[in-house]
Amino acid sequence: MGPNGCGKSTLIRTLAGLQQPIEGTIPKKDERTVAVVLTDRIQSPHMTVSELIVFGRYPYLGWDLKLSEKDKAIVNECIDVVRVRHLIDKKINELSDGQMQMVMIARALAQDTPVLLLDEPTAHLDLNNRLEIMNLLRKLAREKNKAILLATHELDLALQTADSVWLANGNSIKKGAPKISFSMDHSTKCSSLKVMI
Amino acid sequence: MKSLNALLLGENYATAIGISVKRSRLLILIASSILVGGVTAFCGPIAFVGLAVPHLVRIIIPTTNHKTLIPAVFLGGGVLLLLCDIIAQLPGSTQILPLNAVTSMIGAPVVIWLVIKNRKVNI
Repeated sequence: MGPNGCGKSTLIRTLAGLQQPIEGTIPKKDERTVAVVLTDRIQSPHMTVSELIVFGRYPYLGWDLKLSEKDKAIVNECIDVVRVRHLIDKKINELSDGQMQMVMIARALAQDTPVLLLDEPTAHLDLNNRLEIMNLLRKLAREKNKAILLATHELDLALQTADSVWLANGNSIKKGAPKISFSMDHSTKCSSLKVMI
Repeated sequence: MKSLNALLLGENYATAIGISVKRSRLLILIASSILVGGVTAFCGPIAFVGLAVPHLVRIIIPTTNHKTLIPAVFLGGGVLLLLCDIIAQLPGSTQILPLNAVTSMIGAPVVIWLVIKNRKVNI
């Protein structure tokens, strides 16, 4: 968490291997270790939800893009876990922002990686969808044993769902369990606003 | 095909699912150059076909999967050119129209439609 421009997205993108670190190194990882959900919109109006989720299996497919029984089972499981089965035949431009975010999470899950990175997964969503996504992510961390790192501006949701929170502000980062990180002083310093917790 | 499909997601997502965007772009450029060069060397320049057919095929077959689209474009291009050739040499007529004139009649409206469509998106 942290104000705009403090480097949350940069950190997510660097960990995902989409850009080089400015300093230091990141242990080598590949597309079978880390899946990422970004804020980028997919500009492909003809694509259906099922086609989009299948992209999660691409790191495991050969040149002929043939899905094995295992691939199909994993895709189906992800569709059920994220509860988007009713959307699979829809075109992606017919989806609401909340539905699109759920589908993108399903796609990342289909990648079957131990680590899941998400950049502001609840941005532009209403409270219901925000809660649904945060609860889903918590469920995934608990039941599927995934390490989930996400950048967010949602103070309240982070407090409810996260095991650990990093508060960033320029050069300083404070880490701890949600209650420790959210001491009033530090939150106030990070957001430049008076914060009451 | 894998790279072509993955690039539909955008560069970032394509990289995140293990596609080397730079390498893929280079391969696509080389493959396109060989195909265009080879066809032009054999048949001479025929306007608009390469530009119009992929878009027409996408309208007929609403998929984004290049596994289906690439063979469909090969077939669609052949069928369209045969049709254009039939029109150009209209049976029963002694006149033969230049093939380019016929392909332009079909291709030009498609290109104009594409320009208008893209302009709408940009606004």
